[in-house]
Amino acid sequence: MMAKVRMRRWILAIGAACFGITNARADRERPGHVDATADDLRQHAIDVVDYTLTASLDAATHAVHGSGTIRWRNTSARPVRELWLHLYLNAFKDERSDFLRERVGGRGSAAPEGYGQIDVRSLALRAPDGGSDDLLPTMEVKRAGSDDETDARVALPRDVRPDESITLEMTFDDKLPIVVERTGYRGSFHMVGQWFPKVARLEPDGTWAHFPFHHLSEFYADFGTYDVTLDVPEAFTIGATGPVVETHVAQGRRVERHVQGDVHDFAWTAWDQWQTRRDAVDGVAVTVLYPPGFGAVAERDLDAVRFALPDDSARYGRYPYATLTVVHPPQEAAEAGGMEYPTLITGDGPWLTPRGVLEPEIVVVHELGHQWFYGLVATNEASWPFLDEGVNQFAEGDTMARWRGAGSAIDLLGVRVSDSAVQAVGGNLAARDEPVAKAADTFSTGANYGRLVYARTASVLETLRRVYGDDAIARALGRYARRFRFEHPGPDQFIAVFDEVLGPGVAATLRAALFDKGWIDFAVERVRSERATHGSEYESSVLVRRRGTLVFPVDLELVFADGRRRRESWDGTGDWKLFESMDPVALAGAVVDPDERIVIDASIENNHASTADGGGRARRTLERLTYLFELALQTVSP
Amino acid sequence: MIEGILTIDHADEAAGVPRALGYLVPRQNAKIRARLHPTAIAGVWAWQTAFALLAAYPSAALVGAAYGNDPRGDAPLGASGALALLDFLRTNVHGVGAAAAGTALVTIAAVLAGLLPLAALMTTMAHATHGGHRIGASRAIGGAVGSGRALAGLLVSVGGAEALAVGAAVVLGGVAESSAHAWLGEAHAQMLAVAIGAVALVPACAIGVVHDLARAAVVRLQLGTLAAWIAGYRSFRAAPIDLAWSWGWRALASLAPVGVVALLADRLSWRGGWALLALALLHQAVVLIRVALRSSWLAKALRTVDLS
Repeated sequence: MMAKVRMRRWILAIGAACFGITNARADRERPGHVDATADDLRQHAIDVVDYTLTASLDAATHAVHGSGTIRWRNTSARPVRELWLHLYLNAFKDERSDFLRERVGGRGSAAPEGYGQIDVRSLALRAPDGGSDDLLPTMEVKRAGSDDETDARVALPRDVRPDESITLEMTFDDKLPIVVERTGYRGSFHMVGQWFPKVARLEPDGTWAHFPFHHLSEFYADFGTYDVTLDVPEAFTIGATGPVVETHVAQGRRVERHVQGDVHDFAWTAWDQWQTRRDAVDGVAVTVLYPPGFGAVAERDLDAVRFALPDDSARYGRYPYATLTVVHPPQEAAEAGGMEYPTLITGDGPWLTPRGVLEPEIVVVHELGHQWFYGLVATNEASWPFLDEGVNQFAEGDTMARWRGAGSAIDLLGVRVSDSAVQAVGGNLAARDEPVAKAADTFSTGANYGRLVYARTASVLETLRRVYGDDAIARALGRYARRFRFEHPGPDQFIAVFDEVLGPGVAATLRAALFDKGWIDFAVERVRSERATHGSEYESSVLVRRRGTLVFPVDLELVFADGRRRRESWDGTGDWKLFESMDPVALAGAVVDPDERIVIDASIENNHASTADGGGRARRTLERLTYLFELALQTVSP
Repeated sequence: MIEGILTIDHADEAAGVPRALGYLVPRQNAKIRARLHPTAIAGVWAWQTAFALLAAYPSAALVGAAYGNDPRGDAPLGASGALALLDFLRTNVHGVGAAAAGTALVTIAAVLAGLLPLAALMTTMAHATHGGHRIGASRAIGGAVGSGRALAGLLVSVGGAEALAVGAAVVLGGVAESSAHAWLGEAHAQMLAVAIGAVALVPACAIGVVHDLARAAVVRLQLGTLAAWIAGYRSFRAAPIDLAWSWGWRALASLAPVGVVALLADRLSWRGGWALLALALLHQAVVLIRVALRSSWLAKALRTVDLS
């Protein structure tokens, strides 16, 4: 009897396994689906650092008084005798900070309107006997040769062994700057990010991944639980990371306690002008905070979440948190816009943004994508910014294209500009200047950082998507996002997934494009078509060149004199290929990459040639421009 | 013949009496109708089209240099997504700048030279031969040349007046926004500024209407710049509602075909061949309709100054 039961169980198990495999295969064949089910997802991060903080906002002086504990566990293989604390807010302390000295362009490059800083008032290590060791005297805020105060070393009185936990008790005061680089105040508006002493991440080999707050770099931290009690004036509305678990109003103060596990940062906002819009999207409680008069644009923010949240969850693994807060700051505080924190993102765009200009939607889709590529896949943003910003930029363009089609950036007056086209052109502006894959603070300018980290990475991945198919790229990125959920992967792990899914050739191409300034330029150099010496057919030939260091397969479209078209293909290897054919009709011209798959092509203008001189005609352009100038003349002339 | 036409008598400028123009006599007021002069309207359209072609040519030549040998022509530049268009702008940024400079020069020349067909059109509508027939093109142009100095003076002065009006609208809007910001908030303060700015633009429109009436006075009454401004202002003051309506409905009506054809153009996309020809015809029909509506308004202006 027992044997029969066991046998039946085995049969059921094998059947279930087969069923599962069959289903998995079916899923792989489904467009946009990825080869992992929700059950494969890791449910929680390894808890390394827990913050229990209380923050009180003085709205008149724009100060935050903080206190609380940090419980930190050594998850490395080595004992440690020091801690590194990021004091990011000191980036805005004075002109001697690395951040303000490195004004290489981009956000935060204007002269600050008001400075801000964080002062650690007390820092103690809780001792096992109930006492504490004062760590403040041992804290080194400045390094030799630098006046930057964003990266503090704290010497510990004893070793912290692997897997041992310690608890720090601290008090600190923040003086918020006038809003700059995502944090600060403007009037009674407060966006409070990077506001507390934050433990740097300890890598598994026992080295600290710590760094000053550079102008172009962002953040990197371990996962943990944030239990934060916020205390603001009663008239203020709060938005913060994680759900509210307690709230009360007393003595003119509003107190909210937010608790969120499996995250690596905590940000909040408080303003007495916030308007609120709420919805449940894909099982997540979504709140949009927006200024008075921004109702229409807030609804657009919410629409973007309605599309992108389930879409991203399907592609990259289910969004694991219960809440999502979208903060749409007023334009006078636009420096706070376009930023990602765990379960809290900030949007951007004026209240009167035309419907056809998709800036609000793009910003929300982008920052929401960061919940995966930064939040859940917690890469080192300082060392490898392309892993969060670049990969997420691709995810943004990809999502926007599925949602809004060809006009995913601008869809106005018949003009449709796609998000991915904007990225492709931006990336090509700097493709051969510097590598994409390098640390944020090593880029020459803010413009190149944007063009390479964001745009070039996105357009390289978009090229892979167009060449190898949406399913393949969705599978690769989906596998990467799922495998490294609640992890801290580096570039090697990222490229290894492409190796698994698309093969070593594609992985090599991806590596060359990211690390070695890889580029490509297809060109049709010559088209000939002459009647054969014998017979009535035409001997035709097309010479196509591939310049650059990257290899992609490509199509060639032959256009014949009678209007017929025929496609040929080339695997892209070698420097050139001569296409020869005998046809009953003369060849009129040829176009390489006619479907614009290689969006990183260094020049699209040389992708075509004709047998006859076209005479430089641009009839459509001439017609359109003539009409536009006629209308313009009628407007400005008498 | 031209010399005779250019002999202008300014003796009764202030009287508001239509003046003979050499061989030409003032047309009976009720017969000043734009629809009676389709050839003149077509002439203005042709003039504008010629200048627009000139303005468009540098850019079109630049595109032609890049895509003239593409078997698809310049169609890729209009493809949805705009990858080729953005790439073209990236790789031709200096060329585009040079083409834009050329276009700006042509536009300035077109604005100044545009006075000639405008004056010729108004002269044609306002005058007839002694036999009561329509005047020919050469006489119309001759009359226009004679009005040139006064019309240029009006153009310069209206430019200054409009700049002041628009500047005042911007300043008023800005002051309203900054003073209301604290109690209304950013968006509502900006809405208030836009509303106030829009209201403040009404004088700018009124100046435009008076300018057209002054032009009519130059052509119809043979007045100089200052006298024409005065006559135009008096005419406007005499019937502001009627004139605002006459100008306003035509201005609004001239926007309608632009919108309709924009929708059709979106459907025709960037196709070539017959679709391109059809689109070109539609576009030119729009331009012609707008010239006709403008002519109709100018005819109204000519009738108005005469009555004043």
